[in-house]
Amino acid sequence: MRRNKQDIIYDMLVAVQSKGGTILPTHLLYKSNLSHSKMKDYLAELMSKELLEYVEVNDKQKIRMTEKGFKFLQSLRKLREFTDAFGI
Amino acid sequence: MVSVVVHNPEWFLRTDIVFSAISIFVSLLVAAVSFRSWFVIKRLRYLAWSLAFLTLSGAFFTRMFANLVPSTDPFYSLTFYVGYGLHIVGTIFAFLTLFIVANKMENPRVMALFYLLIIPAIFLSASYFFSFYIITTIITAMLAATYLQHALKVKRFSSFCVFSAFLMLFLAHVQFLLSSLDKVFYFSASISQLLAFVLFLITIIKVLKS
Repeated sequence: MRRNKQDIIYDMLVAVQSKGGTILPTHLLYKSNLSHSKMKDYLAELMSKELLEYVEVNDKQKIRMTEKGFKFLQSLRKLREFTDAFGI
Repeated sequence: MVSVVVHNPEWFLRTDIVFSAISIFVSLLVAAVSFRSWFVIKRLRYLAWSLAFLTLSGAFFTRMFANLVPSTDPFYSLTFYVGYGLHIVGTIFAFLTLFIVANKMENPRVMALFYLLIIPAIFLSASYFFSFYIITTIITAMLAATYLQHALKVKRFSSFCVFSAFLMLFLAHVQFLLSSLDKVFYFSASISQLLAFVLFLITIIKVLKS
Protein backbone atom coordinates (compact mmCIF):
# COMPACT_ATOMS: atom_id res chain seq x y z
CA MET A 1 0.00 0.00 0.00
CA ARG A 2 1.29 3.46 -0.92
CA ARG A 3 2.34 5.48 2.13
CA ASN A 4 1.45 9.14 2.45
CA LYS A 5 3.72 11.82 3.90
CA GLN A 6 2.30 11.37 7.39
CA ASP A 7 2.94 7.58 7.27
CA ILE A 8 6.54 8.08 6.11
CA ILE A 9 7.29 10.60 8.88
CA TYR A 10 5.69 8.27 11.42
CA ASP A 11 7.77 5.30 10.19
CA MET A 12 10.97 7.38 10.36
CA LEU A 13 10.30 8.58 13.90
CA VAL A 14 9.33 5.07 15.06
CA ALA A 15 12.57 3.75 13.53
CA VAL A 16 14.62 6.28 15.54
CA GLN A 17 12.66 5.54 18.71
CA SER A 18 13.11 1.77 18.30
CA LYS A 19 16.87 2.34 18.45
CA GLY A 20 16.61 4.18 21.75
CA GLY A 21 16.30 7.65 20.21
CA THR A 22 19.62 7.65 18.29
CA ILE A 23 20.24 5.92 14.97
CA LEU A 24 22.86 5.75 12.21
CA PRO A 25 21.71 7.42 8.96
CA THR A 26 22.26 4.17 7.02
CA HIS A 27 20.06 2.25 9.48
CA LEU A 28 17.36 4.88 9.19
CA LEU A 29 17.54 4.68 5.40
CA TYR A 30 17.09 0.91 5.58
CA LYS A 31 14.33 0.97 8.23
CA SER A 32 12.29 3.76 6.63
CA ASN A 33 12.35 2.05 3.23
CA LEU A 34 13.05 5.22 1.23
CA SER A 35 15.43 6.21 -1.55
CA HIS A 36 18.48 8.21 -0.49
CA SER A 37 17.23 11.44 -2.07
CA LYS A 38 13.74 11.08 -0.56
CA MET A 39 15.19 10.42 2.88
CA LYS A 40 17.39 13.52 2.57
CA ASP A 41 14.31 15.63 1.83
CA TYR A 42 12.33 14.20 4.76
CA LEU A 43 15.34 14.50 7.08
CA ALA A 44 15.80 18.17 6.10
CA GLU A 45 12.14 18.82 6.93
CA LEU A 46 12.27 16.98 10.26
CA MET A 47 15.53 18.77 11.19
CA SER A 48 14.07 22.18 10.26
CA LYS A 49 11.11 21.45 12.55
CA GLU A 50 13.57 20.43 15.32
CA LEU A 51 12.12 16.93 15.60
CA LEU A 52 15.48 15.30 14.76
CA GLU A 53 19.07 16.50 15.03
CA TYR A 54 22.58 15.34 14.06
CA VAL A 55 24.94 14.35 16.89
CA GLU A 56 28.50 12.99 17.03
CA VAL A 57 28.79 9.68 18.91
CA ASN A 58 32.23 7.97 19.00
CA ASP A 59 33.33 9.94 15.90
CA LYS A 60 30.24 8.76 14.02
CA GLN A 61 27.50 11.03 12.84
CA LYS A 62 24.14 9.84 14.14
CA ILE A 63 20.55 11.10 14.06
CA ARG A 64 18.88 11.78 17.40
CA MET A 65 15.26 12.45 18.19
CA THR A 66 14.69 15.65 20.18
CA GLU A 67 12.27 16.09 23.07
CA LYS A 68 9.95 17.85 20.61
CA GLY A 69 10.29 14.82 18.30
CA PHE A 70 9.20 12.41 21.05
CA LYS A 71 6.18 14.59 21.83
CA PHE A 72 5.29 14.84 18.13
CA LEU A 73 5.52 11.04 17.76
CA GLN A 74 3.15 10.66 20.73
CA SER A 75 0.69 13.06 19.05
CA LEU A 76 1.01 11.14 15.77
CA ARG A 77 0.19 7.84 17.56
CA LYS A 78 -3.00 9.37 18.98
CA LEU A 79 -3.83 10.83 15.57
CA ARG A 80 -3.44 7.43 13.87
CA GLU A 81 -5.62 5.74 16.48
CA PHE A 82 -8.23 8.49 16.03
CA THR A 83 -8.06 8.21 12.23
CA ASP A 84 -8.38 4.41 12.34
CA ALA A 85 -11.34 4.62 14.70
CA PHE A 86 -13.31 7.33 12.88
CA GLY A 87 -12.06 6.59 9.36
CA ILE A 88 -11.40 10.25 8.53
CA MET B 1 -48.96 25.57 10.88
CA VAL B 2 -45.60 24.17 11.90
CA SER B 3 -45.60 22.21 15.13
CA VAL B 4 -42.97 20.82 17.46
CA VAL B 5 -44.25 17.77 19.32
CA VAL B 6 -42.21 16.09 22.04
CA HIS B 7 -43.26 12.72 23.42
CA ASN B 8 -41.18 12.91 26.56
CA PRO B 9 -42.77 11.21 29.61
CA GLU B 10 -42.87 13.69 32.52
CA TRP B 11 -41.28 11.24 34.97
CA PHE B 12 -38.27 11.01 32.65
CA LEU B 13 -37.67 14.77 32.24
CA ARG B 14 -34.92 15.15 34.90
CA THR B 15 -33.09 11.98 33.80
CA ASP B 16 -33.30 13.19 30.20
CA ILE B 17 -31.41 16.34 31.25
CA VAL B 18 -28.64 14.20 32.79
CA PHE B 19 -28.47 12.10 29.59
CA SER B 20 -28.17 15.29 27.53
CA ALA B 21 -25.37 16.56 29.80
CA ILE B 22 -23.43 13.30 29.25
CA SER B 23 -23.94 13.61 25.45
CA ILE B 24 -22.69 17.22 25.56
CA PHE B 25 -19.57 16.22 27.52
CA VAL B 26 -18.69 13.34 25.14
CA SER B 27 -19.38 15.44 22.02
CA LEU B 28 -17.10 18.20 23.32
CA LEU B 29 -14.41 15.61 24.07
CA VAL B 30 -14.56 14.18 20.51
CA ALA B 31 -14.52 17.76 19.12
CA ALA B 32 -11.45 18.60 21.24
CA VAL B 33 -9.49 15.48 20.17
CA SER B 34 -10.40 16.10 16.52
CA PHE B 35 -9.36 19.76 16.81
CA ARG B 36 -6.04 18.67 18.31
CA SER B 37 -5.56 16.28 15.35
CA TRP B 38 -6.19 19.19 12.98
CA PHE B 39 -3.61 21.19 14.92
CA VAL B 40 -1.00 18.43 14.36
CA ILE B 41 -1.40 17.87 10.61
CA LYS B 42 -3.69 20.73 9.47
CA ARG B 43 -6.00 18.50 7.41
CA LEU B 44 -9.36 20.20 6.93
CA ARG B 45 -11.49 17.09 7.50
CA TYR B 46 -10.37 16.95 11.18
CA LEU B 47 -11.55 20.54 11.62
CA ALA B 48 -14.91 19.71 9.97
CA TRP B 49 -15.28 16.64 12.23
CA SER B 50 -14.54 18.82 15.25
CA LEU B 51 -17.09 21.42 14.10
CA ALA B 52 -19.74 18.69 13.61
CA PHE B 53 -19.35 17.37 17.17
CA LEU B 54 -19.21 20.91 18.54
CA THR B 55 -22.51 21.67 16.77
CA LEU B 56 -23.97 18.41 18.12
CA SER B 57 -23.05 19.42 21.67
CA GLY B 58 -24.66 22.83 21.04
CA ALA B 59 -27.81 21.10 19.75
CA PHE B 60 -28.04 18.98 22.91
CA PHE B 61 -27.42 22.05 25.05
CA THR B 62 -30.28 24.07 23.49
CA ARG B 63 -32.69 21.14 23.99
CA MET B 64 -31.51 20.67 27.58
CA PHE B 65 -31.95 24.39 28.23
CA ALA B 66 -35.49 24.30 26.76
CA ASN B 67 -36.36 21.36 29.05
CA LEU B 68 -35.01 23.18 32.11
CA VAL B 69 -37.39 26.14 31.78
CA PRO B 70 -40.56 25.51 33.86
CA SER B 71 -43.92 25.64 32.04
CA THR B 72 -44.99 28.51 34.38
CA ASP B 73 -42.21 30.75 33.03
CA PRO B 74 -43.57 33.61 30.84
CA PHE B 75 -40.90 32.83 28.21
CA TYR B 76 -41.62 29.11 28.25
CA SER B 77 -43.15 28.92 24.73
CA LEU B 78 -40.43 31.05 23.16
CA THR B 79 -37.65 29.09 24.90
CA PHE B 80 -39.25 25.80 23.93
CA TYR B 81 -39.58 26.65 20.22
CA VAL B 82 -36.18 28.33 19.91
CA GLY B 83 -34.49 25.55 21.94
CA TYR B 84 -35.99 22.70 19.92
CA GLY B 85 -35.63 24.61 16.62
CA LEU B 86 -31.91 25.07 17.20
CA HIS B 87 -31.65 21.44 18.34
CA ILE B 88 -33.23 20.23 15.08
CA VAL B 89 -31.15 22.41 12.74
CA GLY B 90 -27.93 21.78 14.72
CA THR B 91 -28.39 18.00 14.84
CA ILE B 92 -29.11 17.72 11.10
CA PHE B 93 -26.15 19.97 10.23
CA ALA B 94 -23.88 17.90 12.50
CA PHE B 95 -25.01 14.49 11.15
CA LEU B 96 -24.76 15.68 7.55
CA THR B 97 -21.25 17.02 8.13
CA LEU B 98 -20.24 13.70 9.73
CA PHE B 99 -21.64 11.85 6.70
CA ILE B 100 -19.80 14.13 4.24
CA VAL B 101 -16.48 13.79 6.12
CA ALA B 102 -16.84 10.03 6.72
CA ASN B 103 -17.44 9.47 2.99
CA LYS B 104 -14.55 11.79 2.08
CA MET B 105 -16.68 13.96 -0.21
CA GLU B 106 -14.64 16.78 -1.64
CA ASN B 107 -16.82 18.36 -4.31
CA PRO B 108 -18.20 21.60 -2.76
CA ARG B 109 -21.25 21.60 -5.07
CA VAL B 110 -22.28 18.09 -3.93
CA MET B 111 -21.83 19.13 -0.30
CA ALA B 112 -23.90 22.30 -0.84
CA LEU B 113 -26.62 20.22 -2.50
CA PHE B 114 -26.82 17.96 0.57
CA TYR B 115 -27.31 20.89 2.94
CA LEU B 116 -29.68 22.76 0.63
CA LEU B 117 -31.95 19.75 0.06
CA ILE B 118 -32.45 19.02 3.72
CA ILE B 119 -32.98 22.46 5.24
CA PRO B 120 -36.06 23.28 3.07
CA ALA B 121 -37.41 19.77 3.70
CA ILE B 122 -37.50 20.62 7.39
CA PHE B 123 -38.94 24.13 7.05
CA LEU B 124 -41.58 23.23 4.47
CA SER B 125 -42.75 20.21 6.42
CA ALA B 126 -46.00 20.36 8.36
CA SER B 127 -44.41 18.65 11.34
CA TYR B 128 -40.91 19.34 12.58
CA PHE B 129 -41.04 16.18 14.64
CA PHE B 130 -41.64 13.66 11.87
CA SER B 131 -39.50 15.30 9.19
CA PHE B 132 -36.65 15.73 11.69
CA TYR B 133 -36.59 12.14 12.92
CA ILE B 134 -37.15 10.67 9.45
CA ILE B 135 -34.18 12.67 8.11
CA THR B 136 -31.93 11.81 11.09
CA THR B 137 -32.96 8.13 10.87
CA ILE B 138 -31.88 8.05 7.21
CA ILE B 139 -28.56 9.86 7.84
CA THR B 140 -27.64 7.75 10.89
CA ALA B 141 -28.49 4.57 8.92
CA MET B 142 -26.10 5.73 6.18
CA LEU B 143 -23.45 6.58 8.78
CA ALA B 144 -23.82 3.13 10.37
CA ALA B 145 -23.45 1.50 6.93
CA THR B 146 -20.33 3.59 6.22
CA TYR B 147 -18.77 2.60 9.54
CA LEU B 148 -19.67 -1.08 9.17
CA GLN B 149 -17.68 -1.08 5.93
CA HIS B 150 -14.83 0.80 7.63
CA ALA B 151 -14.76 -1.51 10.68
CA LEU B 152 -14.68 -4.62 8.48
CA LYS B 153 -11.77 -3.12 6.54
CA VAL B 154 -9.72 -1.86 9.52
CA LYS B 155 -10.73 -4.65 11.97
CA ARG B 156 -9.84 -2.72 15.12
CA PHE B 157 -11.67 -2.53 18.45
CA SER B 158 -12.08 1.25 18.23
CA SER B 159 -13.51 1.15 14.69
CA PHE B 160 -16.11 -1.45 15.81
CA CYS B 161 -16.94 0.86 18.75
CA VAL B 162 -17.59 3.75 16.36
CA PHE B 163 -19.75 1.53 14.11
CA SER B 164 -21.74 0.34 17.16
CA ALA B 165 -22.16 3.95 18.30
CA PHE B 166 -23.67 5.01 14.97
CA LEU B 167 -25.83 1.87 14.92
CA MET B 168 -27.14 2.79 18.39
CA LEU B 169 -27.81 6.34 17.18
CA PHE B 170 -29.78 4.93 14.23
CA LEU B 171 -31.82 2.67 16.56
CA ALA B 172 -32.37 5.62 18.90
CA HIS B 173 -33.80 7.75 16.09
CA VAL B 174 -36.10 4.93 14.91
CA GLN B 175 -37.42 4.70 18.48
CA PHE B 176 -37.82 8.48 18.73
CA LEU B 177 -40.04 8.20 15.64
CA LEU B 178 -42.11 5.47 17.33
CA SER B 179 -42.51 7.55 20.50
CA SER B 180 -45.61 9.12 18.92
CA LEU B 181 -47.27 5.70 19.41
CA ASP B 182 -46.09 5.09 22.95
CA LYS B 183 -44.04 7.29 25.27
CA VAL B 184 -42.02 4.26 26.42
CA PHE B 185 -40.19 4.44 23.07
CA TYR B 186 -38.88 7.87 24.04
CA PHE B 187 -37.31 6.29 27.11
CA SER B 188 -35.77 3.36 25.17
CA ALA B 189 -34.55 5.79 22.48
CA SER B 190 -32.82 7.91 25.11
CA ILE B 191 -31.12 4.79 26.53
CA SER B 192 -29.92 3.80 23.02
CA GLN B 193 -28.63 7.34 22.44
CA LEU B 194 -26.81 7.32 25.78
CA LEU B 195 -25.21 3.97 24.86
CA ALA B 196 -24.02 5.52 21.58
CA PHE B 197 -22.25 8.32 23.45
CA VAL B 198 -20.76 5.86 25.96
CA LEU B 199 -19.30 3.98 22.96
CA PHE B 200 -17.86 7.26 21.60
CA LEU B 201 -16.38 7.87 25.06
CA ILE B 202 -14.74 4.41 25.12
CA THR B 203 -13.25 5.13 21.68
CA ILE B 204 -11.85 8.49 22.76
CA ILE B 205 -10.38 6.99 25.97
CA LYS B 206 -8.66 4.36 23.80
CA VAL B 207 -7.30 7.11 21.49
CA LEU B 208 -6.01 9.16 24.43
CA LYS B 209 -4.36 6.11 26.04
CA SER B 210 -2.54 5.07 22.84
